[in-house]
Amino acid sequence: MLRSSLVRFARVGATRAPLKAPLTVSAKVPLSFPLKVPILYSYHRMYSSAPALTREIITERILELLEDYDNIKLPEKISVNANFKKDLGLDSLDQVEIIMEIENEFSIIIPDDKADEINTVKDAIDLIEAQPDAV
Amino acid sequence: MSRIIAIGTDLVFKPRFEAILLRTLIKQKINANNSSSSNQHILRFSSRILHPLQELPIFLKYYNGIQNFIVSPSAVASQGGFTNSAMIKMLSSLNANMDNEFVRSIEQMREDTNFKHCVSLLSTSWCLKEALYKVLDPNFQKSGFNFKDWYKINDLDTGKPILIGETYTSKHANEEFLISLSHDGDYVYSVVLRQKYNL
Repeated sequence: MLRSSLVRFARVGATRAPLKAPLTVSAKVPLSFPLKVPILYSYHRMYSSAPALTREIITERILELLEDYDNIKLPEKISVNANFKKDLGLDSLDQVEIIMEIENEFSIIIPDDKADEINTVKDAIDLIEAQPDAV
Repeated sequence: MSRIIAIGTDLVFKPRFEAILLRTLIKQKINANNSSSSNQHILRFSSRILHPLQELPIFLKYYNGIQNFIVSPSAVASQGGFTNSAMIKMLSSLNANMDNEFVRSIEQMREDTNFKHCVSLLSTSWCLKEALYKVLDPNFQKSGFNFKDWYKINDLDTGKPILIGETYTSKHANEEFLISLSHDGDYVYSVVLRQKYNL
């Protein structure tokens, strides 16, 4: 019984189509450098990862975000050490809006208690840098 | 014997909340294809302010009445807040694809009762809770206070507003918050008085 099932198994394997040959470009083209190489099937997945989020990039994006905000009366005061209340003249509703825009921009969620501690631009940058899944 | 401990007040300009609401409507429309994030923006904002059981469901009921509408880009740009030029470009392309009956001007949105209810709920809630924040102890203000733990209801007979914070009241049973609200056009004003009973 084992022999017959083995034979059946072997027969199934034999009727499978052979592996396709790699794809090659067959048009007549003059030899040029760099040489056009045939396309081979890749057996490895190459997932690309997002570029590393450095402190400079975070700072740049946050400053740009703040420049877009109309309620800031003195845009020249926007800097890394700017305090939201004292330098930029923002109140608590503005702060909530900015926190939410930052959440959107970096695809993160900032819990409410941490959000209340953000008083300067630097605090925001530190918080985002500490988040491993910020994009 | 009762003793007044603190008093707090807040004044809110409603168009600021109108601007936020209009922007979230737009972001929702722009993200409409990506259904997972379509309601995220308004939920993040409103769930920060409103009580999840007593206030948020009422707000969402009114919000569902307005979410089919969209506002013209120039109207949004004039509202202040975040006027992201990329967002306005996306909005222009959306406007072009939408049926005219869904495109509204700011004035039309402001006259919509659902929109008015949404703005009124958000602004009143914010106003009250900001005033409340000012009367609380500093250490509670820093850690433990959340807007969404509190809600306002109106006394069914007299219409008087009452502020309730269940977790706080369970720890400070001898404290009472007396509140009053006032509306005039685009402004909402609230005052909160904190009183302690020595039992």
